[in-house]
Amino acid sequence: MPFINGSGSSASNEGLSRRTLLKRAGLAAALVPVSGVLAACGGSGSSGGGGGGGAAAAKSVPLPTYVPPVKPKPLLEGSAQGVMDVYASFPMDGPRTVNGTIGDGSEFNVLIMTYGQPSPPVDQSPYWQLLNKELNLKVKPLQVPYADFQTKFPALVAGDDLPEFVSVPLYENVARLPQLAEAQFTDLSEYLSGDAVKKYPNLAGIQKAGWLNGYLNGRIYGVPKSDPVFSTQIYTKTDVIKAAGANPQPANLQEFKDLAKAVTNAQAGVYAFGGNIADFMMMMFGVPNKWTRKADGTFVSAWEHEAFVPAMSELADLYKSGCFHPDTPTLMTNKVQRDALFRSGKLAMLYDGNRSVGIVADDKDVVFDIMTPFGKDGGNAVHWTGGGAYAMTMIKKTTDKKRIDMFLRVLDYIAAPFGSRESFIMSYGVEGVDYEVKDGVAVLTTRGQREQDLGLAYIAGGPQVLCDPQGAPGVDQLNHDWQQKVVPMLLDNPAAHLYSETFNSKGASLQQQMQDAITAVFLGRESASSLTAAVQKWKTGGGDKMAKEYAEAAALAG
Amino acid sequence: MTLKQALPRVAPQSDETRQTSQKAPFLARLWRDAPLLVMVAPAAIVLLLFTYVPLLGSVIAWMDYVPFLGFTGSDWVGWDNFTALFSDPSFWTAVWNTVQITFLQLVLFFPVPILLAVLLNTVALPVAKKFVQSVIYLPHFLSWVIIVALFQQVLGGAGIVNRFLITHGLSPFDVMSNPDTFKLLLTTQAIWKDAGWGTIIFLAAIAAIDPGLYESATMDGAGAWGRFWHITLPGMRPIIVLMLILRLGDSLTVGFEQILLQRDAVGPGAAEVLDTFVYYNGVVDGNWGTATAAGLLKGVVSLFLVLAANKLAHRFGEEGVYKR
Repeated sequence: MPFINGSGSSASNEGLSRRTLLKRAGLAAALVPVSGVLAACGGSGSSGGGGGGGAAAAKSVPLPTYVPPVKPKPLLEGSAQGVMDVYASFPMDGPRTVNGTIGDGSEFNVLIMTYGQPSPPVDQSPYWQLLNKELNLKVKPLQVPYADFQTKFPALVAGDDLPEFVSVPLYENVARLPQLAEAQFTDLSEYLSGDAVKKYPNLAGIQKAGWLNGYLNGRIYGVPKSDPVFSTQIYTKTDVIKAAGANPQPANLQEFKDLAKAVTNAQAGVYAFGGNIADFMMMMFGVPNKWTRKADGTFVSAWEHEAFVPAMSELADLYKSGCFHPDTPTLMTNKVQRDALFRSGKLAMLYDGNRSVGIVADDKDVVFDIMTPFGKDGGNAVHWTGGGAYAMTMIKKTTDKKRIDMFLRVLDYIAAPFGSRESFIMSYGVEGVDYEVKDGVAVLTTRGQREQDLGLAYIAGGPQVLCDPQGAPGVDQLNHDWQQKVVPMLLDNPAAHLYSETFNSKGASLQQQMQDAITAVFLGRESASSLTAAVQKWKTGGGDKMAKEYAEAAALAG
Repeated sequence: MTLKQALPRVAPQSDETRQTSQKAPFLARLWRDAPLLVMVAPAAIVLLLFTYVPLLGSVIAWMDYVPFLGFTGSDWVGWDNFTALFSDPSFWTAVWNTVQITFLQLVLFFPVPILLAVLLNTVALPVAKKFVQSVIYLPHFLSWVIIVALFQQVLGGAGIVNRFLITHGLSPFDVMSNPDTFKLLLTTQAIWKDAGWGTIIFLAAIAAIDPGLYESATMDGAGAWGRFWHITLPGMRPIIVLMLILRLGDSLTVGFEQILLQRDAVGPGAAEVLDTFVYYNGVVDGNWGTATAAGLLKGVVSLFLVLAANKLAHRFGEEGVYKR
């Protein structure tokens, strides 16, 4: 991972990406895929659910009551299935959703995972100063770069150095998160369960799918940052594809292979792909989302699905045919370089999280489209949904009710919905410094983009919207249309939010084993048939136990 | 270059003190050595605090250790972690890879600084010698991230060399992501980075050889080869043996960062070594107990290697790192 950090990303790329990421706040999906979507999403799904087992059996409480937030009229309406609302621009005179003083002037030490450079220090950041004033707190983020998170977080836990408030990105697959939550963090049930959440109206605007991630053993430990249901997309560089005389929207596997072959031109250094597209292939072949729950209540892993090995065999053939960039083995974990190759037309297609659309769209000269998924023989593919939340934010164990209330008030502010005054402040900062108004539309300045690296917007929030007035024209509409086409293909993970002791303790290493086995097949080091043995090893190593535990948990949940 | 004189000459002196010290009473010896003991104290304390005290943490090899439950809250599991470790094929892959890399580095890397030092010593022009020395020391100061990136830029699939081959219609080659040759690649990188730096101590050893010996040998008609074989090499021998033993001690530490950076390119089958195994198992996946067991085993094997190498050194009449 340090390689990603050290390989030097251009400043402009970072600036662009950061802005959109923050504006669309969340970005989880943007970085998840390619090196390990499956591992990541499996984690976000199940690591949160269920319970740690060991805790004294406190009474199970209902989830927070959902009160839909008041929203401005969107340009394009979203849907209950997860299609996001589209707005032309951010309303600048939105209503106030948080009243009264929030903090007590004390320090707010919070762990946040960040993606860009560290934010400028508070005395040089009017944005940070404004938030301090708004929250009446001294916000002190402990910023952990995403490339270091897997090392830094366990070290903080092991050294008992976690700050008072901690935001954990769920896709990072932190080992034993439920146990950690029960051992070290405050049970928020009495403040959030049922109608109690209405005291914090913006938190009440977070949907059930988000809350389930912080719901352990029937108790509520964390406040989520919601994530869209869509996981990954293939971006097509239409100008490169058209120049090669190919069709950027294939309808089946054969056409997809033709496209990959047609755009690849090794002499010119142009390749179809630059990373692993294993998940895309699996979804094309109809491989289920991590698990299938059969009619008799038993759980069967997606690895055992009959289409898994054939899908990987096709993937290996594609790689062998030479349409992947020669640096693919390293590009798999180097998102910055992959993005740059796509922008410069050296990759005709980019498989990435659905929020990457913002990163791509930021460069207005990039002509691109989003490929609609398709089944291998035509028709629909399946599209795996995520776990419903990007991150979960918790407070260290305390009995200080005032402190807990203040924590929730802060999150209530941060979770203010699109269109509100607070949300505008979170996204844009100080006028004249962080943003300027052009033709009635707020436009972030470079400085504003830099100062948003504070990362506070990542830690709590309800449904997100599509609003990228600074991106390529029509990009929101493009994404909206894509989402509508994908809705019929959405497929949930039946084990999401179910608790499995084995997944909790061994899930991360088991997923890594499978990921390594897939990578070996993809890059031609092993034959596709080797996966059968790998799956067997996965099953005996803990997969079978997980299936059993999920079945029990599902039966219990009804 | 204080090492120049110090290294070979310190040994005989300490020999004498040792012999006399056995006769004097303890307190007298303490009083006599007090200044030396005071001088060594800070280093000893650091060693104690940061090497020996943390060793106590190894007890988690016998626990199902969960950091946030601590030593008191975690369960004792007996030898479960070791059983799990030994039955895990990926552990044995890591062991085998480590042994292979250790062997390769010993055979291919270890002699390079010695040869370089001898060659450098033959450069007559001081300016040229200094220049060459500076150049070959330089890569030592680059971090692995930069070195791996450099190799990638030059030899990678889309590196300068392969781009040239492809644009000229020739078939490219693959060394950066080829699991079969990965260990050679690692050794090559290590040589490129550190062989120059490694010459320092051998140059010091050469410089410490009495020039009178060369003069006498020349008078007696010894040629360049004869002088090298009969004077330079025997003169360097104690240092070579010492370095070899020290190298063996941490020979199982085959380059964590260097391998971590390139592991994904070739897969764990070729690149997982004990250190990365511990990292992924313990730090990333949270199996602290098993990872500690693996680390502990590595320590035990390293200790054994040092003892064995030292014994061998004694057999060849060398001093080794400590006396019999």
